[in-house]
Amino acid sequence: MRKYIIKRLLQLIPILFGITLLTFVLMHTSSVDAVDMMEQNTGMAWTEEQKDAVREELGLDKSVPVQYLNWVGNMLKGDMGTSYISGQPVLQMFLSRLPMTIYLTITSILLTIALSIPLGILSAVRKNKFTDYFIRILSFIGNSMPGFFMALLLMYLFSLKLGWFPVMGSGQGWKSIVLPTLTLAIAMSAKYTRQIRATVLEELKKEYVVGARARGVREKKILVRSVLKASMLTIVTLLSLSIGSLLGGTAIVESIFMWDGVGKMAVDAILTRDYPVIQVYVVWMAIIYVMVNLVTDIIYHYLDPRIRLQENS
Amino acid sequence: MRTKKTKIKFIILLILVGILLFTAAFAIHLTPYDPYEQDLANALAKPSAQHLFGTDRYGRDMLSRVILGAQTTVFSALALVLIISVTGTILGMVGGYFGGKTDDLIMRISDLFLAFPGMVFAIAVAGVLSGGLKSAVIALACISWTKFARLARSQTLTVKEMPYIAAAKLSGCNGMQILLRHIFPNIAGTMIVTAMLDIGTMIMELAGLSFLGLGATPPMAEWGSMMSNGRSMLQTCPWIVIAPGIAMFVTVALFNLLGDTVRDMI
Amino acid sequence: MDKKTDSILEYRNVDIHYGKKQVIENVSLAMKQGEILGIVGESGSGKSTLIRAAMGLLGEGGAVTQGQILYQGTNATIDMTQIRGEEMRRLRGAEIGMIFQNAGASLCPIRTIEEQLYEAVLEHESISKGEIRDRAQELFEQLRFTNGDQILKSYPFEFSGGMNQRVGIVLAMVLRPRLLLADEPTSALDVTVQLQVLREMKKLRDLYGTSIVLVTHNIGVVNYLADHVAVMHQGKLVEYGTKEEVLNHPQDAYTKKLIGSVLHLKRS
Repeated sequence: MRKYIIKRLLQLIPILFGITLLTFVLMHTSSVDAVDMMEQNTGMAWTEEQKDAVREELGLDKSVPVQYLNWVGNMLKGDMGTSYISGQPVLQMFLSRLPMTIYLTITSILLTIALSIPLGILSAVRKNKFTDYFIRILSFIGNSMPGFFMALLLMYLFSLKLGWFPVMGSGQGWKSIVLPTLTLAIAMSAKYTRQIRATVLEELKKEYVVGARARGVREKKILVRSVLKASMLTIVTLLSLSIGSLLGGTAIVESIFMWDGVGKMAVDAILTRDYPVIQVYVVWMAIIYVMVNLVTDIIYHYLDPRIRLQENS
Repeated sequence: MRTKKTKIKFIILLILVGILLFTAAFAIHLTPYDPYEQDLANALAKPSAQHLFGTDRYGRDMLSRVILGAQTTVFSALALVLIISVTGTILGMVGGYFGGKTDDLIMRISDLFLAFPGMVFAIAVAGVLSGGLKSAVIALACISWTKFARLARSQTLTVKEMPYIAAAKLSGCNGMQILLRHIFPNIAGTMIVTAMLDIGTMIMELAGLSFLGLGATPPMAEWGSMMSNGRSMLQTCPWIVIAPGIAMFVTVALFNLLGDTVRDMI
Repeated sequence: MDKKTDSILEYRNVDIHYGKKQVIENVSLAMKQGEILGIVGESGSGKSTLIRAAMGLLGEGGAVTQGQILYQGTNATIDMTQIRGEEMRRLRGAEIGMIFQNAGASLCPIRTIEEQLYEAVLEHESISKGEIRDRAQELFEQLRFTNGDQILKSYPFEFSGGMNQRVGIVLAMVLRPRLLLADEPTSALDVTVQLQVLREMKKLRDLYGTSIVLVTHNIGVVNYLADHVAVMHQGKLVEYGTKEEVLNHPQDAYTKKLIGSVLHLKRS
């Protein structure tokens, strides 16, 4: 087990290298000159000399590989540049908003699990009966609606018409998080419920279910103790795959509900061409994503005794 | 499983999708009004007999804009899916069949793209390329091809071990011939189903980028950007958001159903 | 319908369908307590279906469409085709047990043997885990395994085929069912292991008086163990009698072919 973890951590290094490199290249192939952007944002005209001075200060006159090394060097020191718009250090901007995004992500995942596992199992156990069709139709609708439409519909219904929840912002305590969470959770649950249903159905066909029945074990116990456990592996894989889309998906929801997380920060930055901010967002989201994948991989290995025991032998 | 019910479903859906595509293709000729024509006196009108979906803030007929939006949204999504499925499948087949350094390289590159959460990367690329529908398509293409490559690769790996491939090799077929004549026909089914099921997703993702302002820009009629424009007036004039939204829902649902049915048939 | 029978298990004019397809046609047979009944036939003859029906384990789309399957319980005779739910569950495992062809597959792969053993017993009796372990140990010892503890703590995938079958037998016998339905218990094993397992099953019958129905495609197995033999062909019962009668004096043409096709080792 430990060997596996170490191996994976080592694999992390080239991946991190690739991430930073790709992001850097991405930012520097943009067709807009950074200094011109800064000039635009200040609203005043600068002379060429002023611009050259700024370029020199930012190290933009050096060759690209050198710039990259400078950037990485600074990053390791904790300095990832400053925003073109606000002038604030971007790493701090990112870190101060990250908790909000994590908060939203966690509540969404929890709600998704609470919805999709029971619904998926119910759908499988009552296969082809009314309950199953009903749940499948709901899933289908959820899958066919883009997140932002769902968000707007929910906003229209529950905030504007019924006034139950605040329209935007994160300041009103637990009420603020309901609609954003609901939006994300509905979209994810729609996908998960389907998968869970398929996994449970597959497990139910297996011999060990017949075996347990032959031994006189109650259906409910078979479901909960054996089938669920066996399905866990697939569920964990699903979760890990979706964390990625969730991390990115918060961007749209955060923008719509004005939820002050890193997603909203990134979208705003893109609209204003604030490249340092975009950069810090992309790099860190990628790193977090890779770390989360690593953790779920390890959990997956831990849950399956077949793999766990083989590693030890 | 080709039961009769499935076949009937398939034909009905195919017809519906056909109608959709036809409408999208000939949108210009099918709109009741000119989608770009402004009529400020009639701005923000509620849905009525004259304007089935109401008008937007410039007085443009919503129904016409929604119909025209179908063209933009649907065809750019179709183009996108075509690009990623073809590229991904080819790369996956080549990597899976020839193995070795080529395979390693392709896999490393796809791993790299996969290290970024999808939307994050798409947002970054679209932003860097200064917006517009083309950049949104490129951005989504960059991250979505990996799914097809992986799938094609794993399918190829399985098919590669089949006895008839060994037989083909013995009878003197070279790599390219084997790929085209033996491997591709066997994985084509799965790849086509995956591609079809992806159309709906791509429509939604393109619309999502446009919604954020990173894709199609006004005055282009595109569902995502139309909904974004209508956001501020959600309370007073909900039809500006709801009309394109429902159109998108119906479209995606149709493609999803079609993809599901095709999968059932194969 | 008259349900009296003095057999422990009796099939009366049983038809079984899977959807529209008929897989068992008009089968009638009876076995007495303490007997070993061997049911032979090729794959697809319906022999597995026949015994699964007795425990209501026919799977999707399968049903007994005619006839009765009578089981002589401790208190009363029960028609197994008529009971459902809790009534059926109580009989399964406790009074009627099943051994599968691939016992390893009949166990959940990611739970220990011990867990599944406790589960199987505690669904029927409330006794302590210690007592359950003791019973299992006793059975393991009968089968000449002294490392019972280790076996219990392991997972199904850690065992060989033969070992898994033994575990399957122990799990089926731990509640001392009166009737044991064995669905090709040795077919997946190497020949040498087969004989061992069969010997062990016979021993258990002698010790505990369990009635056993043994389904197999191997005539040698039936020759070794069975008291009575039933021959199945394409869903029909073509021959039924004592082992002596069926194997040495077959009446039916198919039976004759079946017996005749067994290769004999001649030592010259």
